Amino acid sequence: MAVSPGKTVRLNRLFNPRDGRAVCVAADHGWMSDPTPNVLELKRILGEVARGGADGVLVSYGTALRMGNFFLGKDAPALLLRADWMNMPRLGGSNVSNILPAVNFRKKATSFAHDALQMGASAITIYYFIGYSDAFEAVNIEQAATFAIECRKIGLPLIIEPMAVGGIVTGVNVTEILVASARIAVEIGADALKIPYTNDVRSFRKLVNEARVPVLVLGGAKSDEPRDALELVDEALQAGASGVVFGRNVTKARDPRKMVADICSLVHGRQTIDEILGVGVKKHGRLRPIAMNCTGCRVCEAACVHFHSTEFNQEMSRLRIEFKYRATEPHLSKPVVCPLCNKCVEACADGALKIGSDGYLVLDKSLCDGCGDCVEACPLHLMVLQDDGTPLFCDLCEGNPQCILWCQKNAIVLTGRKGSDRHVA
Amino acid sequence: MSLRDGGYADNVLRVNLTEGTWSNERLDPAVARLLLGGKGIGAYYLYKNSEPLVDPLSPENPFIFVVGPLTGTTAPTAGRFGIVTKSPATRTFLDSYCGGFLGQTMKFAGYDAIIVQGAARTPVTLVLDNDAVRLEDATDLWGTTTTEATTKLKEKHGLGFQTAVIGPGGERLAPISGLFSDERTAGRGGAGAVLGSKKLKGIAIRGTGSVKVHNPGEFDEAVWVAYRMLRMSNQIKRMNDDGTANILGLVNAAGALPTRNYQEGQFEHSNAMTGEAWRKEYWKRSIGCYGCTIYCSKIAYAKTRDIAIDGPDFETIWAMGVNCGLTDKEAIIYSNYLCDLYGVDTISVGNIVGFVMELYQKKMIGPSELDGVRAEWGSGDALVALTEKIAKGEGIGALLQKGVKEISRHYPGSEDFAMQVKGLEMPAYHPNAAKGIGLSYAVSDRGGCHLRGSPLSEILGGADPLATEGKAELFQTNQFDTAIIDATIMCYFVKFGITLKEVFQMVNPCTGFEYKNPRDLERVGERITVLARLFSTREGFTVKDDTLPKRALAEPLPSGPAKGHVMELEKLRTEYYHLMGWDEHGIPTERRVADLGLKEILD
Repeated sequence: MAVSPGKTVRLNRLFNPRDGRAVCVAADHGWMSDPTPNVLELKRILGEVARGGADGVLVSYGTALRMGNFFLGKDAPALLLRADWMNMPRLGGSNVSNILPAVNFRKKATSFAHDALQMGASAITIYYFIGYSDAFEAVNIEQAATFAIECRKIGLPLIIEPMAVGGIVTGVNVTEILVASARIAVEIGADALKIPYTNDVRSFRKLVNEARVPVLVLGGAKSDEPRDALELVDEALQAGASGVVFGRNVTKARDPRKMVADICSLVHGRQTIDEILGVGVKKHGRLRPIAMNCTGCRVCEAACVHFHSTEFNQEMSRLRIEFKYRATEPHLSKPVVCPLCNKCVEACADGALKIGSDGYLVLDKSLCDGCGDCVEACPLHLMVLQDDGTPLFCDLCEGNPQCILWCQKNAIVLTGRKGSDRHVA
Repeated sequence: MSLRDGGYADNVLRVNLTEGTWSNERLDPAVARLLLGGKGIGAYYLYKNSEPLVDPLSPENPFIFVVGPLTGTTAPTAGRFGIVTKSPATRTFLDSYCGGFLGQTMKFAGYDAIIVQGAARTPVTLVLDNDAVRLEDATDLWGTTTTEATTKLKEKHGLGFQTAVIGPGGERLAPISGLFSDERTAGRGGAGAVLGSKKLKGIAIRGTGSVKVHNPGEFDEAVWVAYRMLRMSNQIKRMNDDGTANILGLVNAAGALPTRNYQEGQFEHSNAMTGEAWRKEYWKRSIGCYGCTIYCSKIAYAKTRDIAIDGPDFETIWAMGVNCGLTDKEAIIYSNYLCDLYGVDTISVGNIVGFVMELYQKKMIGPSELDGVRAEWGSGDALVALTEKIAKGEGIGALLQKGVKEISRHYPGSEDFAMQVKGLEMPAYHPNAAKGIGLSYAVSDRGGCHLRGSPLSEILGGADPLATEGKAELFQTNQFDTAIIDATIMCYFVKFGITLKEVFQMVNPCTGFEYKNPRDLERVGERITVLARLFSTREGFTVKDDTLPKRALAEPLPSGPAKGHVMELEKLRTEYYHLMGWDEHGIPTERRVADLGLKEILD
């Protein structure tokens, strides 16, 4: 027995027939959480998401009614309708400067599948919570089964979103529970799944293999680093996922259009993640500290040492966090970084130390006589003479400065050639 | 494969303060594999190096500094250290963890643990310059505040040294005194007093060595995933923005925020005390401990006093604010400041002040007994005055610094509302309104504590806080998970972003131990928990000590979402013992101890 023609046609509206993959954006947060900017500016954001080339957009019934124009036309994203409601974000964890905190976890169906069909939807999405409590799980299963039956009758694809939260869910069993939930959802009648990434490729591959329907990975909370979302997508694709449904990582991004375009590029195989992120392309410029952003956590130092060695220590760092102790300003800190002032180069009588064509210091060991003049010449005392006589110096991690990569407070930036700051993504 | 290649220093320093001698020994690989490090090896050394029933303030009570295999690596927050000893407050197991910058330095200096035994005759500082050990005269530091002592040590030895010191509170042997490392502290349970009894003012360490891991490539990948998950966590973002106080509104909404000495579960002025409120009025900036990208710490500046502190954190805001019915933020900052200076625990101090305010409310104590202080609910002046007395041990402070359990002995009837377990004052969650947390207070290895497995998730949306179903198991799982975090030594808060699976993914390539799955690591967590319990059992603690004050067991909350509720302890405690495989007295059975592999290493 094959999947119904109605379902097949609509699934292919969502999943690109060439590669069987889809990039969807979830814009249905408005009815589950406080009206944050990504909810209030939905019209603008949907426009950018459509321009970015999303294959599908998930919205609520009310949004579909009023912003239906985004879904018109051959190149427009497919309409996915959220057919149920739940109050988990208001229970805790997320939006809790909350006007309406919730004490008890609830889920309710809010649409009929045939309504979604009338709206022109290509699929409906429903939650399936597992692990919270027996009673809640039973409610979830029953609702899912009801929708599955209706969807089957009218040829509308059903996307189930399993989530393992609360109750018996622990770090030990969360992965196994998600894998099991994927299987259960398909047994009930899911045509595709929207499911959290298990955070390692091997277990997610197991999930995808056991599901045997297209699996769309969901993005979760937004990171301040766009690369995090892309890395997650890349790993999920390696594990066999058929695409993504990202919400906040797109709708709360500084540039939603670019975020969607990059994800589409990755998912539909136009670019590799390295190409999108510019990995391997050496970055040029000089390090510049922004002291007021520094928290003194010294992650930059640890990353610097470990990039240049398989070991970990405090001594071999090529930058330094300096602390000041004042009574009214405890724990003031600032990064001291190599500004490429050239004094070490000038001090080198043998021409062993130079700023190379890629814009960072390089040492020709064959010319180095271990005199240490370069170390003495450094006005910031950032250089160290090593046991073998050669100097320790900042090499901008050969064009991929790790201090910038690991610092989450923008306390170190790369100054462009013309003096403008460019935060390295 | 040696321990040295698996994140460990493979070296334990043993210092005898009485003789003024020391020696180094290797770390037993069997112990490392079974107990991992941190809390695990601390509990092991405490058990093996002490006799039952020693006086915690005697030379026979060992004081152990510990770090874990992840300490000093790029794993998130891996710069912490721990201390393990017998508590003068509870007379049983004490472990306490501290952020800052000492942990990784201790590992780079080449130590997995430092066992301090005996007592010096005159004040000393233990100075470790890598493997060079010195006991320096600390007469000029004795009597100084934690800030002065820290400044003097850094001036003397140089900024390459990290320090941890006690304040006058510890020197005075106050059971509420702690150990202070820069702006952070191992605050609870009287660690400061144990060091005070040994006349050890503090420790200063410089470490220029390196740490190696078994499989750097796999380790680095696991570390990157862990950092990514922390960046993608909403709860971590809230810590970043609003500090630990970000949960205050939530706890209050659940009716679990103890108000006026736990008489109620909601505070009518809670909006003034949320993280958001503090951020708008007092935070200047965030600071981070070594290797931490969570930045929960905030610097607050009190204008009227012209002082700045790292804090106040959620527990302090609760203890000195909500618990005392206060909204006076400057008073709270200043009281926090006094506790830091004199080296005492803000949670215990706030709980004590709240207790005194209730005694005052009930007219069981008056201004004359309080050196003139009018201890009225909501009085910032009373908070500051009483805190100063307690921190300095002056006047009525000499009694008050002993904790609410001891104070209540002087006021018959007040034991019912002395909110402590085993002598450790309870923290910021009401046991009547959060049953899993109530169970954890009663059964936790160090007494009334929220950091030894309390399932805070039950207030944060993970369960119905008022239900008892499944809570024993929830607590047990959390207890094991927390024990692992305290063994690797990472910060408790990483659990808001990563799970035991990600911890497992870092521990394996770090140590090379080849635990097969996260369940194996959970077993290590259970082993450590049971070892701490065995120490407690050896001290004579049984089910009768795993209890709660009458206010929790028999005084229903008068209002709020938890109105009418008490803590149904007996049922949950019995269920927990059963899950753990302990007998009805709460004692681990021989069978269970053997199954966990503890028998070989303890005998």
